[in-house]
Amino acid sequence: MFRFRLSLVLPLAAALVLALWPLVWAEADLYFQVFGMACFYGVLAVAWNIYALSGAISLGHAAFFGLGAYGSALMSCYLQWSPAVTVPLGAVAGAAYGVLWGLLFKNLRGVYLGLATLASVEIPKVIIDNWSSFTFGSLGVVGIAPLPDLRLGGLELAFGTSLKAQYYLLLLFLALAGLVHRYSLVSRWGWALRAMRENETAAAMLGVEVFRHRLQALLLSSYLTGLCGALYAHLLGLIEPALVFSLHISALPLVLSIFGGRFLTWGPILGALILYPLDQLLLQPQFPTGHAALYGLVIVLTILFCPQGVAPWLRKLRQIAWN
Amino acid sequence: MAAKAASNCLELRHISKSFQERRVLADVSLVVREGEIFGLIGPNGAGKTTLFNIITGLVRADEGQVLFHGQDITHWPPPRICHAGIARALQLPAPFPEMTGLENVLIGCWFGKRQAAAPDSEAQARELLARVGLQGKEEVPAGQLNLIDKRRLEVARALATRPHLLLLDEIAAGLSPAAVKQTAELVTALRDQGLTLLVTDHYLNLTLQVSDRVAALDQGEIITVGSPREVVRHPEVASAYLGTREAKTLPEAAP
Repeated sequence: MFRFRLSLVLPLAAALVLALWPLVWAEADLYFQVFGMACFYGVLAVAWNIYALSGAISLGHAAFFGLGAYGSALMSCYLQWSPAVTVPLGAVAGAAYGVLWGLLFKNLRGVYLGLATLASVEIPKVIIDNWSSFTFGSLGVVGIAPLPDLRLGGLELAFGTSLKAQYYLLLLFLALAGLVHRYSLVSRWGWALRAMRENETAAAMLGVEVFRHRLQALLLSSYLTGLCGALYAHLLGLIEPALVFSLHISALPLVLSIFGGRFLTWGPILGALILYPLDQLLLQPQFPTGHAALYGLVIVLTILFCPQGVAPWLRKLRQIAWN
Repeated sequence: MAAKAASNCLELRHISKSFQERRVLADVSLVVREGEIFGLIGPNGAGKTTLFNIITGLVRADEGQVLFHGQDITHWPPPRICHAGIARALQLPAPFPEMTGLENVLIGCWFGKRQAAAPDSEAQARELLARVGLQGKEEVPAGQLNLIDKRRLEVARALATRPHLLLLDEIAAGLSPAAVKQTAELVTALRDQGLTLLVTDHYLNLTLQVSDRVAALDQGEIITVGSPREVVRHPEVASAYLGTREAKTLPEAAP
């Protein structure tokens, strides 16, 4: 009973700290930005992991990210609609590509699926790169509308300009993604994903509808990734194919999830909240030239000594501390 | 005619299957009646497992039909066949290795045959585990169980889907005589509860002892179907599979 409560209390306490520190430390734009982006990549990691929970390791989530970014940016550019509308609608472009994956890659597993997903990023990228009359080609889209401001009574949230407001928006986004991730682990549907991940044939013979559940996971995963891409376009104000369809976007959620621990609710989130600030606040300022190598070293050490990620390791420490 | 169809649980019509050039099943037709234990015997490579794979939808037959309670289920996907009421314990156990024994069985309870969800799946799962002799091992990760316990888990998990027809593939292979006896008792008890069972086994004593009817399969063809006694005495069966000396002694072992 007590341990059950503790497992609730710790994430809640962490959420409270994340929500309240900007009130104490009012002028810290660097930290708002770094932790805001850490939240952002946390959502990306969660989104990637939802598909991975069904036993499918994707190396091409940048496809959804880029399509979401272009979907929203072009819609806002041509139709002049508010980002509040184009972000959720633009992300549908990512989800549509996700459904296509689900149907085309139905019978691919393991390394073959990984290669197919990796290669499939190139298709939308090359099309957008070359369809200059509509997508502005490799020059990219510039001057994308910033996120709109929101007035709540006396409170003004300038999502377009204030890094603090953006931090809160991204934190809320992360909290919602965390709830979706939790559902994907503990619900009956989550158990279906787990069963097919551990043994697909056995799961199918026990009545788990493998194809349907995996497609649902992919739909959710690709839509969430598309949302990230769409938000990214409006947060940054400019996008180009090489940026939003980059290998980095595909690899980062995988690294964060594995570093944090893929099979715990807060694993991928923890990965993002540790690794991204570590790189931005410590490694980059201290070792401006070699930071990528150090970052790589941290990841290699994790995989060697904590193959399940740091979350299960922290949980074990907590158990030792309480007993 | 209608009454006869109703008493057929599973009917195989002219099933053929080849893998590349090799013919594994040639025009196999069989009828498993409602409520019986049907034994399928045959040497290694006779096609028993392929036949099971076709029934459960893991392998597509080149020709022929599978009928379950008169309904054509030939090209249904495995989950749909499970929902219709056919479950199977695999020859090589395929547990969910990171889940506990209890969780393995719960997957069967939750996703198996569609009917009013059992009010207490966990109690039901524990009961099934106890029934196959896994009490006390509910919380052990399935990957850490030994081979025999993994086999038991296969049976519990298959039963958790609430099947009408249970396929048991090589259930007694590698079991101790005491465990074989337990398995025989379990199989008979399941039949007495109204389940229909289709069993294969190398351990002929078990199959011949518990089966109501037996079919002998050799090189993808059915040689004969009948009571265990008839089948063992069939000259082709004796030469293809049993050897003449065993053919003399085995019927005495059967009750």
